[in-house]
Amino acid sequence: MNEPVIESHAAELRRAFDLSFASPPPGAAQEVEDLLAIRVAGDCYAIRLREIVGMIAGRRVIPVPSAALDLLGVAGIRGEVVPVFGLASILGYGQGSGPPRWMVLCGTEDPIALAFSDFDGYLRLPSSALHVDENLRAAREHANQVASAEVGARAVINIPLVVATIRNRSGHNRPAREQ
Amino acid sequence: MGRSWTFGKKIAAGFAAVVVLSMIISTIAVYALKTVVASKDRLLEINALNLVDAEKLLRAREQKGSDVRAYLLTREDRFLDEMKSDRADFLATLARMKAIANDEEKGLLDKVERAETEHQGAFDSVIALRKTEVTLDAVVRAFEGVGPQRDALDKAISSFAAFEQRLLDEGKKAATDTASSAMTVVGIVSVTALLVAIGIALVLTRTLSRQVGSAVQHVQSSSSELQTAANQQATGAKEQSTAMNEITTTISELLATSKQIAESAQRVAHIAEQTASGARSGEQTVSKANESIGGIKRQVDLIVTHMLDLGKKSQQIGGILEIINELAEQTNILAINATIEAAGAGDAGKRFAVVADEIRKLADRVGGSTKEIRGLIDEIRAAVNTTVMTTEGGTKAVDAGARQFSEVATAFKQIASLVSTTTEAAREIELSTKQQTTAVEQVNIAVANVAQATRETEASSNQTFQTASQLTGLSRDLMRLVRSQTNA
Repeated sequence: MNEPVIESHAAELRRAFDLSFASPPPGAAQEVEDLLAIRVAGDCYAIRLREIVGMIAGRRVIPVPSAALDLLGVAGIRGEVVPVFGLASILGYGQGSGPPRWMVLCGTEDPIALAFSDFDGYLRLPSSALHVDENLRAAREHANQVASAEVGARAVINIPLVVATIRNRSGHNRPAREQ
Repeated sequence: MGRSWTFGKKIAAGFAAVVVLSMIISTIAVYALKTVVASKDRLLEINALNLVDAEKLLRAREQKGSDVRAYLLTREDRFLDEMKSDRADFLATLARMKAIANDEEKGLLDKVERAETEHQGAFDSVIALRKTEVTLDAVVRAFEGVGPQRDALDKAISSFAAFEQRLLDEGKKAATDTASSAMTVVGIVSVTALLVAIGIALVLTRTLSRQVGSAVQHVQSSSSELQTAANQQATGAKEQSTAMNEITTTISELLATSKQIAESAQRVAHIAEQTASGARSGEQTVSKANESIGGIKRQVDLIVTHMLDLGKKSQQIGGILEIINELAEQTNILAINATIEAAGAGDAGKRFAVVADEIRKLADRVGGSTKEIRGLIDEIRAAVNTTVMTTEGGTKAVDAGARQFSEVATAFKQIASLVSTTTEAAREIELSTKQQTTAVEQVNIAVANVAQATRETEASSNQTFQTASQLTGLSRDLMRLVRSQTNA
């Protein structure tokens, strides 16, 4: 990369940063949806930011014996022992080769963590960019919408549905706490 | 007659046979002549002489009678002396005749001697009577009384003469017979010798004709072969002469080529000396270049060390960048969580959400920048690695170059040595080529001599061919002569 390009890039960053403080806060005229762009088993997915309570990276997961195939183990998050489930296994991809690095925390009470391998970035799309795709719903049980972004379309994972599925499978029990 | 005998031997043998026969004939003739001569000599020397002596005796008797008559008539003593002298001649002749007479002749001569003695006694008696004073008539009667003694003496002498005449006739006849016999023998032997000579001549003629004919046939055949050989030799000599001319031309070209080679070898020697000088200069240049390469190698090693340091620094920058990236990621997560928390805080959290959003964006950008920096660092590390590898390759190339320069220096030394050897070899070649040129010139002269000899051989072959042709003609003529003799 040439030196003028680097300097212009830095100037743009500096300008954007200054502009963010100089501009007024955005109004509520346009509904937007904040999404986390992830990849599960190589496929692109999106998670609504409002459906999770936190995002954790690089946390150590302690495997525990369980009948639930989706349970990867437990991890200590924000002072609590939280069960960690493999999002790939839940979405039907099966167990991955290694422990997933990223996880999102779901639910304020009895939170559970959903782990995945790759985090692509943060997306803020207008709500109109999300639409229901029946074909996708037929193919993926826990993805009911598609988010069309500039970089491509992503299936939006219904986190409450996933959490409900986990809870249904575990019979409203809290496996980690039982253990 | 042996087949191994030469013509000379055979002819000599024939002549020897003829000579032997001639000698036999001569011997016989000589013997016959000697016999005849001996007979004639005896006739002439003995019988004829005896006849003459007998006549002498008669004449001496007559002379003595005359002397006696003269004395008786004259009574002169000189007649008595003459009578004594005549009687002495008579006795001397008689004695000589007895000396060469044989027994039978001696018997007859003894009778003559006794008759003469009686006759002389008669004369002496008459003479003595005459000396006396008797008459002449008595003396004449006495003298006439001497007649019987005289007749007896004449008879004895005649008997001797008749005997000698008979011996002479017999000797003549014997000599004639001997001569006739010798003539007959000589004639027979001569005829025999003539027949033998004719036979020998015929045998010699046939033998010599046969052998000469065979030899002439051989000579004719040999002449034909010699003619053919001479013809072939002439052809070969002509071809050889042509080949010699070609060889002379080739040798001349070879001579020119040898001179060119000598000049080229001289130039090669000169160029080799220049090359040796160049090789020594090149060796010095290579040594200097080798020293320069050593300096380059040290600089390259320094560059490699610096590049390795640069690689390590880049690696350290990568590690720091990893920390920055991780911090950016944590910041991003923190911003996301702050956004979530701000959303949960309702309106009170909106302004915080804005800040969190900006922080998130800033973290995103930091993450993107770290990715870019990582890419740049990766490029730098790759470039460093490439540079190090290239430099190591350059180092190896420099090492190889140094080795090659050493090898080149060694090669230059070898070149200088080889060029020196080449110079010597070129000089030897030049010298050898000059010697070769001299030898080729000598060969050229020798070939010219050979060519001259070949031309002479060709001429000689032609002469031989002509001679062989003449010999063939001569042998043909000789064959005709021999065949004609044989046929004759």
